[in-house]
Amino acid sequence: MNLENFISILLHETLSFLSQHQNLFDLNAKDTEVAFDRASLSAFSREYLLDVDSDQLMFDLQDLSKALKSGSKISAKNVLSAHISRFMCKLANQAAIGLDKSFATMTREDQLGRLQAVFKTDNSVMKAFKEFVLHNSFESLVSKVRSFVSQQDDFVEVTVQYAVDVTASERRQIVSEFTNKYGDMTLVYFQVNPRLIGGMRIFANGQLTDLSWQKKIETLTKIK
Amino acid sequence: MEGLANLGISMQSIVIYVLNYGLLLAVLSYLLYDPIVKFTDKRRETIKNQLEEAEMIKTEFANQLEALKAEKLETEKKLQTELESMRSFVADKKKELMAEMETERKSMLEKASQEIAEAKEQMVSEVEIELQKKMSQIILEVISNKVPKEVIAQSVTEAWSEYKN
Repeated sequence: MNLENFISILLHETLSFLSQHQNLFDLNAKDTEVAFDRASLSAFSREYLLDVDSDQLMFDLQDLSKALKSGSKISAKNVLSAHISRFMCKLANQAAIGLDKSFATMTREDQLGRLQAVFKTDNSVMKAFKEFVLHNSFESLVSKVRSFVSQQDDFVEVTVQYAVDVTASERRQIVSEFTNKYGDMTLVYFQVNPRLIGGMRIFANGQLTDLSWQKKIETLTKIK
Repeated sequence: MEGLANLGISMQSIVIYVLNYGLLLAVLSYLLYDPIVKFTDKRRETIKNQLEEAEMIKTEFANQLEALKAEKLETEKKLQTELESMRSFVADKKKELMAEMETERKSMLEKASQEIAEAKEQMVSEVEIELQKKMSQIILEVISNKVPKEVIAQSVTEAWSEYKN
């Protein structure tokens, strides 16, 4: 499973739903919600379909298909791409919160169990994402997501380094803080760096804030 | 007369002697006087000429000597002036060279002092940096081995609070 496969599954779900509900854009809000619930659509498809009309949908599909085939830049007007980016950032951040560094050393069964605990929803999209996580290291996953999402103008990358790993709850707070500050197109990446000794170091939107003990000790030991 | 005769002197003989003498004198005068006078005059003239020439030569030599002396003085004066000028030039040149040497010496001293100061500063700076690194390493080593995990975990939480604020 790679990123392109995952995007295909996202689109497959959306387009399958549309093929079964060809009058979707003519339905009222209540009927639309009912149709979504019956089909157990992922949050991605729901949000996207509520955000576009049929013309925009056609434009988005053509533009994305062209970009994926030829490697050209995705149009800034592409709503689908923005939704995919936002959704992937959300999933990647969720993975960063729920999966600590011990995940890599777990058995496959334990990994599946942990993934199930972190991503409780079990529709086709989430199954595909879990597969995507299982088949890639976390670094590789982040790298692939970053390469796609970085085409968006609103994309902000945040790397948080700390001396010792923090709890999932603290990671959630950190992600929440940055997504509130920079928007949904924010990808937060956590790193444990024992060389910091204590405290943390944050690279956010091109700016470095070093609150590590290493930095403090270096500052204190400066003679001049 | 008798007395002369008693002495053995004859008056006659005296007369003859006087006549002989007069005659000899007349003949000699007639034959020798003029040539001798002429010779003497000529000789006098020659001597006079030679004396005049000698005087002239002497005068000329004296003049030449004077001229030479004057020239010598002039030359000496000129040489003296040139010597003075040369001395003055040499003194000026010496002064100029000394000034240049002094400037160069000062410049070299300043440059050397500056280089020494820079090298010193660099050395001090390097030592400071090295010392700083060592101090950091020692402190980091001590802290990383001695500080309890809970304290480090607390430091992460505190850093996050500090960042948010």
